[in-house]
Amino acid sequence: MSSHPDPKDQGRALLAESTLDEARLLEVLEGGLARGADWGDLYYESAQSEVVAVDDGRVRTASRNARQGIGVRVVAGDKQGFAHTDALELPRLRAAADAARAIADGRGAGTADVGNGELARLRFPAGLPDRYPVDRSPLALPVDQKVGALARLDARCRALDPRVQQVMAQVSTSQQTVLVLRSDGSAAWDVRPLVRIDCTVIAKNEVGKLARGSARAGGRHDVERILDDATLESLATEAVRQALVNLGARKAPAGVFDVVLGPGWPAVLLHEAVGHGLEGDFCRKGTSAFSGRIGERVASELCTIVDDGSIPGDRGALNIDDEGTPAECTTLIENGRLVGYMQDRLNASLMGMKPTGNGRRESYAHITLPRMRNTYMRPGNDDPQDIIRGLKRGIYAVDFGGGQVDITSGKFVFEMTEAYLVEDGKIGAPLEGATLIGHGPSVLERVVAVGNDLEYLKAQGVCGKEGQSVPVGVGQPTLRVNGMTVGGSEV
Amino acid sequence: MIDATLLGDLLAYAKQHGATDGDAIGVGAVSTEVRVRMGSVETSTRSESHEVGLRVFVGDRSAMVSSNDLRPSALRELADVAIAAAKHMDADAESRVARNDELAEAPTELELYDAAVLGIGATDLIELARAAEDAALQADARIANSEGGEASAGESAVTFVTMGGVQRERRSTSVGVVAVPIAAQDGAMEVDWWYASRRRLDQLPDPTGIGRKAAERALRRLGARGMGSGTMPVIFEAPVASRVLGDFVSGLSGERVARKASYLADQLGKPVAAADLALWDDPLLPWGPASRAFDGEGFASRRLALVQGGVLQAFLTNLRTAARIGCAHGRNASRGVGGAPGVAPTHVHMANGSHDLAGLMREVGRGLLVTSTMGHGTDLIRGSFSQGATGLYFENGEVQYPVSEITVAGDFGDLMRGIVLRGDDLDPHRGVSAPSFVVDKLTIAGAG
Repeated sequence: MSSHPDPKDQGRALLAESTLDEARLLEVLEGGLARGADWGDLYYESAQSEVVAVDDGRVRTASRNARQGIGVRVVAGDKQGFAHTDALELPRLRAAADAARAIADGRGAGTADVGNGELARLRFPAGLPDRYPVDRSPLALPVDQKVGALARLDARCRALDPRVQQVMAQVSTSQQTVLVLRSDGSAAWDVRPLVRIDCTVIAKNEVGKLARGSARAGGRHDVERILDDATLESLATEAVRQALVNLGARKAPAGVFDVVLGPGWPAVLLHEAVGHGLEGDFCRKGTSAFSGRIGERVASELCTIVDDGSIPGDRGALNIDDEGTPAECTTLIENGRLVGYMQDRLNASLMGMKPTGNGRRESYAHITLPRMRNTYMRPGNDDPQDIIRGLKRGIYAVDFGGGQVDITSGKFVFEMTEAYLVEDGKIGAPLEGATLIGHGPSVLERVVAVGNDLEYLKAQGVCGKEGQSVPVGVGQPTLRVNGMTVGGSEV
Repeated sequence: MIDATLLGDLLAYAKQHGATDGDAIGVGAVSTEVRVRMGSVETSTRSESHEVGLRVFVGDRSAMVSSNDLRPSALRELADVAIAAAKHMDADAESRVARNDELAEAPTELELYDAAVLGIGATDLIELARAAEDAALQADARIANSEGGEASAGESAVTFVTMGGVQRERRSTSVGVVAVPIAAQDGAMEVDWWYASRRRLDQLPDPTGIGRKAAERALRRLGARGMGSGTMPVIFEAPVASRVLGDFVSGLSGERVARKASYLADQLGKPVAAADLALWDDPLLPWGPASRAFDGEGFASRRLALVQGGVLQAFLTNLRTAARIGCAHGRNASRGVGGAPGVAPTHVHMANGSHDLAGLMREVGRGLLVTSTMGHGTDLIRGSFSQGATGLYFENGEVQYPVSEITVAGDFGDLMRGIVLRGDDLDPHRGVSAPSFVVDKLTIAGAG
């Protein structure tokens, strides 16, 4: 049994600093449930974060942020009124609730169950999972230990090769404490740690050519785990290796190629190509290329894709989502067939489906949306080496920068940051960065091989949607996709 | 607005507890935003925020803290955290707070605040959003769906104080409308959007025009096909041209240059763009969306020549990056509450040429008009460009068909030097903005 503190006790202590408690907040929420409201929720958040960074050979940046606030949402049919404030005083909270309820006045079915702010109405579900047990906040680690680790990382990168010109690395830690109070009286606390270390190296060769390499680690766990010598050594080795590979890279070709995607982070392709298009809001409104296609075949039968919030310690892990729904593992595509969408409460209820624990928000100041957690493809049977050997002429893409998708047309892009030309099954020259472009609803139909080497714990993604950023994971085994467009500059 | 006294008291506390210098910034903002979809209100959001950021120095070492918990006891606790953290940092001689004598020049009075914007309520915003969406939905039978129309209005205020006692304040308003219609044909859907944002209510264009323009943009994507790989002249339409210019301006950031993470780092005095191009950073544009009377370190804003006759004149710098690079200080500090001063452009406008878009196509004859790009494929370290794109293929100056699922790539330096013609459609109501322009040769990759 873990001895770490109960989230409820931690949260209540924070709330008490503002002379608030759950009963007063329930009263505020009920004040917002005007005639016509169907339901509502109130979200209290208190979060601390810290970034310490080395740049230009000096650990010269440390910044710490504290934020707290409350968001109130009132729902009537498909309409949402939302208001938030960082002033944790009852009159301001009541004003926010009034602003939120203006939208619902007389418009919905009016099914909200409004009580009188009695604490007895509150129900805290028992048996919630405990996926990120830490004994203390990652911010409790003294700053000098982060400084020391970054200085060692910087020195190690420079020692590995004289061509290393610059090292930019940072340790980011945060802890978010949230309370979700719903108008049906259910309530839940969650305390979410998140840690991350990033290392980027710029190398320069004899003729002045510059190239970049990067590596990263993290998750919802203790900060010590990303600052130990083994982790620092592997980050330095990986970032320097990639920069040196890229120093030797030649211009990528332009045209249509068969592509082998390496395991792990290249699954950003799944996130962009199919993940966003399977979010409940787009599917409900008919604006996604995947709208109304449940039961249809949308991928090769080699593909089974899930969105999983239940991986302990993972960057995308959640005990509950930001609406209090327990986070689970949601199957999206099973043996090539579309079987499910990712849902928050609003879209699930309007579509007659169940919430899947995908209701997420960046902070109290943002409205909840259906969002991904860790989206990955389950492993197949192929040996990854055989997949590469089977490629007559094509591209082997190992690492990527960011990606982007147009949900409606299904077009997606992402940028290769480490890739090689493959000829006659042999890995050849490294290629300078180029964009890959494809069409989400058809790209997975051209998956012809799936490796047995699933990697889904290392990705450190940040997903953006409607101006909100949330941490996510992605994963996949080695994959071969035929006929992708590679945006190089050599015809 | 965050009271300057609150920041002054916080700095005084920091000074008493070991800080040798520092500055503080407060940002307060209030806004209302609505979204209407298929004619009915979908969300209505009311936001208010107040945040304070403090930077402290202990000698040559510094640290930052920020918070939206404005109780003095909470802020003091954070100041203690900052002072303690600063002592563990490496010394950084180039980092410092602006001195009083440097801040003696008073900022220009800039009008950026229109009380009429604050008179707009949620009901008015709903009407604006609905008008924009309606116009898009009515534009054509193929506009079958919509991500909605949005409208927002709000104000924000920035307060800046140094430990030396210099105080600055500015406030601004903004009001905006967006339409995001979806066109459908033969089972394929295409989304596009258009928007306008202004500081003054009476400058906001008619929302129906915004809706119609958004609809036109979505409709012209329908029926897109691929095209084969090859090289050809490319016209970047104004919004895309502005993005390309934005990438170029990012390459001028002193932060990138100081760490040699820009291909432009050693290009001062050299040709970096077409020989007839001049680019200025102009923070003083009347009612400009990016105008500011003082920068993130308190300096009175000035115009700065970046490129003259295609030759690089200056980088965008704050105090630290100017010292680090060893160049003139450009007064380009940006400052959020959460971090140390960064560097950012304000308005960088590429001047109009003399052709309209049809004229540009006639001049070029055969090529690709890129109407949107996807991805972040400009590598400023290497100076290479590769973006996903959609557009219109044209021959003999006439549009032949829409294309999608292609990429456009090339050397970024060659691209900027290869701007051979400019259109007349610069949008002056954006920060970094360019008219449509022609690049003589880029590589297209696609299947077709």
